[in-house]
Amino acid sequence: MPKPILIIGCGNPLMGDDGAGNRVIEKLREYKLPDNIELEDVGVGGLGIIELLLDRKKIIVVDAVKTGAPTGTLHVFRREELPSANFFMISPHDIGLLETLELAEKVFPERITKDILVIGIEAGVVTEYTDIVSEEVKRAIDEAVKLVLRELDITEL
Amino acid sequence: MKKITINPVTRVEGHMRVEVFLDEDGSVKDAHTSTVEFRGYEKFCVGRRVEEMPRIVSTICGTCPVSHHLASAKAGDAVYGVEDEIPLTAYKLRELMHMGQIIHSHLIHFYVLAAPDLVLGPDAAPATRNILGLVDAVGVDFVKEVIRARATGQELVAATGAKRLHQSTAVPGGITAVLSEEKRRELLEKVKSDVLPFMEKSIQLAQELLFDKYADLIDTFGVVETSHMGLVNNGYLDLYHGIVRVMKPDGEIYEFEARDYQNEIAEIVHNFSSMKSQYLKRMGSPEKGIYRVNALPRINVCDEINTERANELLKEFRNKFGRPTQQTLLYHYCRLIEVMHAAEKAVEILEDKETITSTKNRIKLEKTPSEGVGVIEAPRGTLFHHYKTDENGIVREANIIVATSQNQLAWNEGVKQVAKQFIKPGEEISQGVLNRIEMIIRAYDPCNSCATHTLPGKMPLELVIYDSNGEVVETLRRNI
Repeated sequence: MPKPILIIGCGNPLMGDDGAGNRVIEKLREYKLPDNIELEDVGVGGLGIIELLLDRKKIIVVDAVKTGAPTGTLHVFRREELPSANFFMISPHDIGLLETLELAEKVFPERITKDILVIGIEAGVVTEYTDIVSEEVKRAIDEAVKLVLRELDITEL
Repeated sequence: MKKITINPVTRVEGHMRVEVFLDEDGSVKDAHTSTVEFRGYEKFCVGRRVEEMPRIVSTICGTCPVSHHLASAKAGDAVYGVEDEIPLTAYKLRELMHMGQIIHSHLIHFYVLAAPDLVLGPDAAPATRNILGLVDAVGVDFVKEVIRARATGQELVAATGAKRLHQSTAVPGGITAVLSEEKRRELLEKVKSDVLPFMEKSIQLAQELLFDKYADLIDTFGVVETSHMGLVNNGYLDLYHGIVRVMKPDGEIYEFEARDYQNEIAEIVHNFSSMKSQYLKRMGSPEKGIYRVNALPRINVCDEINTERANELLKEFRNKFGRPTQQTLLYHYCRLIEVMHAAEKAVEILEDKETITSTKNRIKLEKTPSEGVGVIEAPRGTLFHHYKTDENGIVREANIIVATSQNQLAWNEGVKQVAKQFIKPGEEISQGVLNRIEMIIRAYDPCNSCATHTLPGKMPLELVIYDSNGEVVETLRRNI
């Protein structure tokens, strides 16, 4: 059986701030987290992550977003509050995060949890190949890590 | 001149804009796509060790990481002069990884991007013309099979590439992966149970849609006369390795080695798009040298396919549509022939237990590194990686020709044709027309940036009409 709690980071680490989600996962790997938690860097996500989402008790998704808010802003949603699909980034070749969730709910309704938290990190520059993230996003990554730990009720590590 | 802008193409690429130019009486005069290409790709490679390149480039593209990973490893083989000495086990493990990618990439394209248009119809509302609408149309159980077959492709990649994304195993001189006997049996079983039978169903569905339901559309929609390019090995379709074969529109064939690509392929820069285009030098001009890559051209250029069922499908296809086939929408069907081939090839590789589980997977690199070209048939078409290194193997120059840009001239022709056919003076422009233009581009499965999911999600489709003075006279929008 898959571990009860899944934390996934989406993004491309070579596209600057787009890699925010991947880096949150990297940072979380530095902690000794309880055994019931699985951390996954899922790259650009899409249809391929559906199986990963199934049979969990709780899912946390960290992804870069572009909404026009100041770079580094954190956007936090529960499943029922998720905005339209337009909010999230998608691969040109695949479905986006919201569609993936909706598809999982439609095809595997009994196997997908409702306890889903999505953390969007507002990205700055994402149009040039670089592995450097902006200072604002670096701070946001640290904040997102704290937020994830808080969500999991983890205080002592 | 009036100008219509469709911006962007949903489900293809956020940064692509389609511009349609009208003359004074409102007829379509010209059309093209304008594309933002992400910068810095080659620059990012310079200064890296060539041994590191396959791992680095696998993270460059979120869509087809395996293609870049393997093309890079093959370029590395050539840089060290060992391209003909790769151990058979390494060759087969790399090929297996590639077959896995072909399976999952083509199945996503067919079921997520192509099938919604075909099953639900080009005039269906965008809100239902997507994978969720498809579930209602074909049923939950069918979609579960899609998910399972695609996942099997992904497992082939994970088992040979060490990770499901960002593969790290292929290196100049071989591969670091070893396949256990247990894993070999598991993968073999899965391809046989979850992919091959499902592909028969997929072929049946595609034949109903493309050969019957939309037969008229196939023959009239976005058909362009071009040359075709793809790799062949002794004339057989070969997605992993071979010589580059070109078939001209009249069916005449010529071949060249990938390392001679710069003598054969010319590049042009457009003022309307930051993505370059390529054409065939031997044909003399961009107009005459226009060519296509990806599944349809590969099926056109090969004489035969060396797996049984895919070869039967090829023959049936060729009897029906001739060779070369120029009907753009048949790209969708050719992808499925290729998935059938990839699944059969995976079975063939996995059944050779002795080779595929051997640990003889690398050779020593003893020659001084210098320069090399690697080529592979990425799901979207012929992909070239070309590196020049110093004597320590540090990359000093890199040139990469991705599949998508090679199709740009052809899809512009297709878009122009469809625009002329469906946009008429004085007639209202319907959503269906917009989608038909998108359908053409989508048939080519473009991935303009070879980049990421950094593109804003389902951005709204916008169509702007300008009068001859450049003033906006009408704006059509959807999903806004």
